[in-house]
Amino acid sequence: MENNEVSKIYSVGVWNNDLDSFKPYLKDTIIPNQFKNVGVLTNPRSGAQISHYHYLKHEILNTLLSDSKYLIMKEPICLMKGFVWGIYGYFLPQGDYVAHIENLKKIFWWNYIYNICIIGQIKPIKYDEEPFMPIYNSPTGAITFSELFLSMQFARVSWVTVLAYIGMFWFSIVKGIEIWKTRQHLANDNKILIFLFFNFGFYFLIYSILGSFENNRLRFELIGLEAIIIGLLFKKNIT
Amino acid sequence: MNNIKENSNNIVILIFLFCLTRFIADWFKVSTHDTQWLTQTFDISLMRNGLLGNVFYDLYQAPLLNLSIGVIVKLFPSKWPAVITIILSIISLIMVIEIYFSMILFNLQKKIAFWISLIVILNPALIYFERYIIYHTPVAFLLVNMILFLQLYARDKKTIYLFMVYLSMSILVCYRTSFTLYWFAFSAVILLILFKNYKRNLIALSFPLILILTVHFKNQIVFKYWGTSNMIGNNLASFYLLCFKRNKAKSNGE
Repeated sequence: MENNEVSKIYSVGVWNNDLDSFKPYLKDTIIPNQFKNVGVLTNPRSGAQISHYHYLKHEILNTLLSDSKYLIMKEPICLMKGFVWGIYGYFLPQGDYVAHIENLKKIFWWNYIYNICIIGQIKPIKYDEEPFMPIYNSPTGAITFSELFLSMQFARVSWVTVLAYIGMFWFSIVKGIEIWKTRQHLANDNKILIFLFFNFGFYFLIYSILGSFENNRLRFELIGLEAIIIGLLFKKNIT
Repeated sequence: MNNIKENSNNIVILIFLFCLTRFIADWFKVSTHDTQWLTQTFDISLMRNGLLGNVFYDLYQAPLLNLSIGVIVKLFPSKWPAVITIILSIISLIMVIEIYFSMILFNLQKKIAFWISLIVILNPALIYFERYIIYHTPVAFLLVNMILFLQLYARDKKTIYLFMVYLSMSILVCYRTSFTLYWFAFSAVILLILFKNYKRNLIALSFPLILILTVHFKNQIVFKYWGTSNMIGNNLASFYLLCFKRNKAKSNGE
């Protein structure tokens, strides 16, 4: 960041090939003596999307961090917009990030049957669809609002999922008020539930904000906690 | 122990179905994903040569990810992708069993716990991510592990269970950049408020906290950066990018 403006790196984009146009800038960076002969700092990555050095990567990240801090202070409305878009992106189907499309094609029918039987999916995703990664091409970053996060697999529209989550949130609020009023929150099970919901919420917020639309892989990590929460919906007396 | 005996039939069936589905996945030739193009992991040459030094001087990711993959690469130079897939499959099997027991400890009916665990086993995403050499499956496992051991602690009041909760949390911090020291501290405060026993909490907390602080002080000394990773710069930038680009386009009259 120079003269209270964001850096050139920031203005062209993050982690895309446009960074190559800033090679002269990157080449100017001098690796300090203390880091000489350390492989991770001096060897260029062979298979990475951007062929820069790890040390330079540190520099880029530090620059991006200072740029972001500057923007948070100068354009707080961006923070709010980004937050809304982030949550919206979290619920999008599939996201922009499909790591191993060949594997997805191999388990297509498994996924298709699972989504219909378990999730109540109406329309399966087509892996051959082009462009498969539309998020960066779209000006708003939006595809269509269609999926909730239980179907963290690779599903599209699912009313069963939508209803399940509406039910879950309603159930949590009603039960939560009831538990709190009767001071049953001091019971062991409820203490654990508080901790569980805190972590679930933390994860949801962090990845909806910082996930940068990679919702497919980031929603997956909640699979265990979601299973436990869904199980609790079947419990007759939660206290 | 009683819980395990009472539920042994269901557990055996779940393990059998887990193995069966994974054999079917192999029959479909669902392969291990080569993550060498990812920015999170090192090149294999860096894992083979001077692994510890490279992990020490890497600020891009929390250290345990590359360290754990690197150890397996060193131990199994040619078969490491298959070995990691097997380890990730075992981790996800343990996670499913933990989900089952967690629901049993919440006094759910065995039948319900069994069917929900089965749904998790059949989930194609689980199969997909078992073959994806990065942190997702272990993180999902550690989150469930944390809850299960907290339930055991609430029931038996043994310090070792609480220690396991904090250990899972500290591994998460050293493994995944999004889980930070501040998350750890906040979670610890919540546990202190909820379960009160301060002395027991502090004993269980001490070693995991030292583990996290070691990484933080190392980064502070070597890189003058307080944290396990400076990846937050990229994440925040991505978060702001769309808005920033749009504002810039507006100001340019596009």
